[in-house]
Amino acid sequence: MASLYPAWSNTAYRLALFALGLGAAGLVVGPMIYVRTPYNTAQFEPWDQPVEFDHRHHARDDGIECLYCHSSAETSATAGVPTTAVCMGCHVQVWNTSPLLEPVRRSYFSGAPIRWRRVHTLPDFVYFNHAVHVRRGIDCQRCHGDVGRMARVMQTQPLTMGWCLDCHRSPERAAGPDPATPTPPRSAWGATFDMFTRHSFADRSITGLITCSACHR
Amino acid sequence: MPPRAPEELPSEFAPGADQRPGLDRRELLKLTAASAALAGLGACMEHPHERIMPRSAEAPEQTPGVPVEYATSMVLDGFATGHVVKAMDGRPIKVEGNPEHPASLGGTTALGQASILELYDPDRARGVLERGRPASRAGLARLIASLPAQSGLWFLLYPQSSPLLVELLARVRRRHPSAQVATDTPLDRRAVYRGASMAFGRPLEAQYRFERADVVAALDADFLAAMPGSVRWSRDFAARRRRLAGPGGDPGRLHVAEPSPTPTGSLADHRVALRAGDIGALAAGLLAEIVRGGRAPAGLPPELVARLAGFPAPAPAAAWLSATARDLARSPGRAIVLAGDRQPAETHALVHLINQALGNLGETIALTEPALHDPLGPGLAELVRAAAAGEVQTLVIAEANPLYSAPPDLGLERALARIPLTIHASLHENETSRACTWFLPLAHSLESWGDARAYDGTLSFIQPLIRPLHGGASLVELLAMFAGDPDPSGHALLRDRDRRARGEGGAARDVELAWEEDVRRGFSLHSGFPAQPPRLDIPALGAALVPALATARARSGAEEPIEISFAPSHAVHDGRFANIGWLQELPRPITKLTWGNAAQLGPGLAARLGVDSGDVVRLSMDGRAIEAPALIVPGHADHAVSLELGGGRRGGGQVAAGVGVDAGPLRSAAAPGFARGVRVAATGERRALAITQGEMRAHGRDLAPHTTLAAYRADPSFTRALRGGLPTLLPGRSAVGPQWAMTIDTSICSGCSACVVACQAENNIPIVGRQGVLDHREMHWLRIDTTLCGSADRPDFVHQPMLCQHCQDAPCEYVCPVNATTHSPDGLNEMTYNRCIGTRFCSNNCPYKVRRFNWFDYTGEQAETIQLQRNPNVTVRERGVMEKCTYCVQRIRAVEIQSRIERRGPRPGEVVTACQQACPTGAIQFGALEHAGTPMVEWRREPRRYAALHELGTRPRTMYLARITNPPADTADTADTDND
Repeated sequence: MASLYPAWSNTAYRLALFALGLGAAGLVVGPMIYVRTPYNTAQFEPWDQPVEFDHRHHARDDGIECLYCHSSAETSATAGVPTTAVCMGCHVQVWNTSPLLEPVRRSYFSGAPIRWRRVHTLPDFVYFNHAVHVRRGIDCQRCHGDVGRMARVMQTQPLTMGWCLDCHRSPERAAGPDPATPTPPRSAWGATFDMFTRHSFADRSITGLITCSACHR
Repeated sequence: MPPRAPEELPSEFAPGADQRPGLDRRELLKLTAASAALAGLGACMEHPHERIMPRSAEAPEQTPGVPVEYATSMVLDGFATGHVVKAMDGRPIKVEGNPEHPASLGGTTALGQASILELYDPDRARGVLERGRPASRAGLARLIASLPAQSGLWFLLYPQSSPLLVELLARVRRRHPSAQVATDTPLDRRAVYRGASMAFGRPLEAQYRFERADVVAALDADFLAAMPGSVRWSRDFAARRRRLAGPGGDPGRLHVAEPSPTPTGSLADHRVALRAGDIGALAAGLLAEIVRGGRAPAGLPPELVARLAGFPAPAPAAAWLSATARDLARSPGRAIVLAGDRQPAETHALVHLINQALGNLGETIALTEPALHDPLGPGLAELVRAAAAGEVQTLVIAEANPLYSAPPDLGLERALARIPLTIHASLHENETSRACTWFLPLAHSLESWGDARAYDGTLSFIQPLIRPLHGGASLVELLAMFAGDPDPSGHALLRDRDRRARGEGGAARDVELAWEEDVRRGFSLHSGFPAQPPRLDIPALGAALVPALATARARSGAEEPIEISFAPSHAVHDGRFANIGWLQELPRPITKLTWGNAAQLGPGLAARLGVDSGDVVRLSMDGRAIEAPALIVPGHADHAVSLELGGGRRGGGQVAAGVGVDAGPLRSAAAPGFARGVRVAATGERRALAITQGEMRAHGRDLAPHTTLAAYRADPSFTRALRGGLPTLLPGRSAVGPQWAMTIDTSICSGCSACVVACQAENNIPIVGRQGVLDHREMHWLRIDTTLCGSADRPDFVHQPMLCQHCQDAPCEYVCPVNATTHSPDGLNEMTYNRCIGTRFCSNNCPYKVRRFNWFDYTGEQAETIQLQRNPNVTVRERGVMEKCTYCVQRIRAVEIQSRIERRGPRPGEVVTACQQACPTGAIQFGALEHAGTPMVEWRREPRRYAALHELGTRPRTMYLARITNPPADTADTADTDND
């Protein structure tokens, strides 16, 4: 009597078993890969803004400091988007009739704010503080990319928790040269930092806070 | 026609309302199916895009994300307390005490903390109404401008201390020469001023210096929580008691006689429960004992001396009286005797006489002019009389809500109907608005300019932090309209007055600078009233007291009939704060009752009546009756029932609706504070009481240790079993950075609960409603556990603020399956909400039961205006997430960030938690263990320190100091030290 199943059915069965295992693993691994894709983290998407503001022109060609417009980055948790009055500080003189600046003039004279689209978003349960990063010598570019080469600003870093922790675990990879004194006095906190950081960074009290409540409160 | 039927109001305040709608089986299945079907779609959404809307022009003093603080004042029944209010991006979000202000010294009350929520109350009135129909403010202004000069104009206000208001009233009288002002509050202090007038010939105000007083005798006076100077007095009293730094220290002694236990009574060293009506006899008895002891004030009429001789002490207080009198006589010039506001004038006069006899006047008690304007001026009774006589043509009721709060036998409602034009100005459309022809929304004090005097006379300023949310005029602007100003500005009025008050002589620039400095500070320096020489006309006073003594004697001793007494609620005051959910859900200091009031009675009376807590009783007196649930309160006077005011609002808003019972029908104009002759009968019904603490006894466990001073001296380390190391198998933890910790002194915690509301305001803690409390779902991160020790009629109370103890070996941390609760290197027990999946395992494993679970989406259901109050630096938790005290980690991290920017470490005292900042006595201290010399660290060295539930080996970072009572030696037998 011929066998009920042809000989290749064993192979098919093994393949099916393998595919099943692969599928099960994929169900776990797939989402984990997905959340790390730029699609999910909203990277590299240049968004339209209500004003055709070109950072290439302002930040690179004209050499205007980031902090000239985003001034609260040094004092506040948020870097802040400049008020219309800051734009008009220059543009009452320069390009004051340009049609591209019509929304700015409208906002300035009516008092209605310009509705910018937020590009770098963190969840509401994350408390990021610009001031302490900027004042401790982290370059804007480190997290925001080379904005001076972007026509429309996009997010270049994933801004995920793992990405934050990468730097906080080894800040020497992130920090540039000390913005203030080369060797500030060692603070009472010095001991804290040896645990987390290399010695040179301990001197600057750049800490690798990796405890939950550093960001989640 | 009523202005608006309740069902037409937007239903916004769901969690504050009574019970959430049930979910039936069909509904549940539908929702389950729908959420399963939609579960996968979340990932397919496009990234949500937020908008950033910068201002078009720079706002002065504002940086986005950086809070700004302004000094202002809160006025309650005429007395100002200095506040510093924090605004975030233009929204006021938190009230703190003004550390420089003499009436605050940095502390606040629960009411002060909750005033921020009153600002955002969604039920606030939004427009001018004429006979219930929308009208315009211009129309009202035209009406006011057209009033004839002789228009029989009357104002009904709360008692006022504002110099600007007094000036405006003078201007109003220039236009309307016959204009009259009546002042009224349910918590009237006229008896205090009448008593002072009897003693000193004019209504002087007594300024107590508790920090100097070795012995204090409070006769029905809750001076630590419910009197105009309470916040300041709490700090002073605590400073004196804190001399107990070691066993050798002397904490002074507090004697209290009161009908129902209050925060003051719970801190007493020597307390007796006595009916309010017997307090007068007790004061006379005290004077008799002092006279007998040879300290009779010179000039006391022999007739009075004769009457005092052998004056019988009220029976339950005989032992208390002799011990207290001896104690007072031993500390002449270093004692304070004071009586409560609801006591009659004669009792206050007697107390002045006692203080004079003891030499306290001028030493521990200074007398000043009263802060209130015309404190003995016309009241509600005069207004009703004038209205009945047809003399009132126009009545303006501002702020007050007399149709709810006035005793019904005054006949105010009938009188109002006789007045052709009635204008009500208030934050809310309430009971009174509906009986008035016009209604004008008032601006909140955080929205208006003004001034007022503190209890000691300090001129304090009210500064707005936000434009009026719903239009509305301030009280001074309303008065200016009557003075002929069609569109007044409160700021201009205040500026003008200030310029005139500073005199024309000074250079304009100096006047300007002085004004700016005062507004920045919140008050004028050294503007408190100077002390007046205490000149008692003893012969006249003695003669006036003789008849009073006769009635006191006649009354004293009789057990029947039963007395009823009325007291302000520690949460909703007289009912004016009844629409603030935080306050309704605030456990009352002693009873822990939330959402309403109850007929409080002692265990003896309850046993005789055969009622238990929760049984509804019918209280009837002179043909008037109310029904209220009974609540047995240990330490309550026998033959007496007491009721808190503020329940049973009929037109108070959605939160206040249906909460508690209105004590009003039992009050009479003649006896608004207490009266004899109430009949109590059980009705057979039951009403559940929403009480947050089910058990007040420790049942032999040493949960909240306390002892007497003598025992403490004999054995200073009596808490040794509750501290020190314990063997453990757990691995050690690395401590890095400042180690945060808290110390709480239970000897000075009065249980006033300001910290509970402060925590709620700071940390975005929702309320759950009455049913939620009945289901034990309250969300308070900080509660005050009150432990009863001793017998039921003479209990001792220990208040123990209970919050996350931040255990170094925390039981919650081991059991979290997702690492949502972890330990930080600086000693905090962290809670990461976005990781929490809601297994509630941590809460089950927490021995202190301080973790709270979001059973519902409490925060998502809140009204938009309430959302404006939220602290942006604290995550708003959603359904299914565990939460708990964080030691205000947002404040710790903010200080750390600032200190790192400035390249230094956190300074001692730089981090202040919300509870610590609010505490009027300063019982809560926080800081880093490295900062030697701060109170937090110093207190932890005292031998009476202990850790709560130490035997479990959790190693809490929160340390308590045991309660030490100092009963007089001759009555030490009444203070048993066992912890039964």
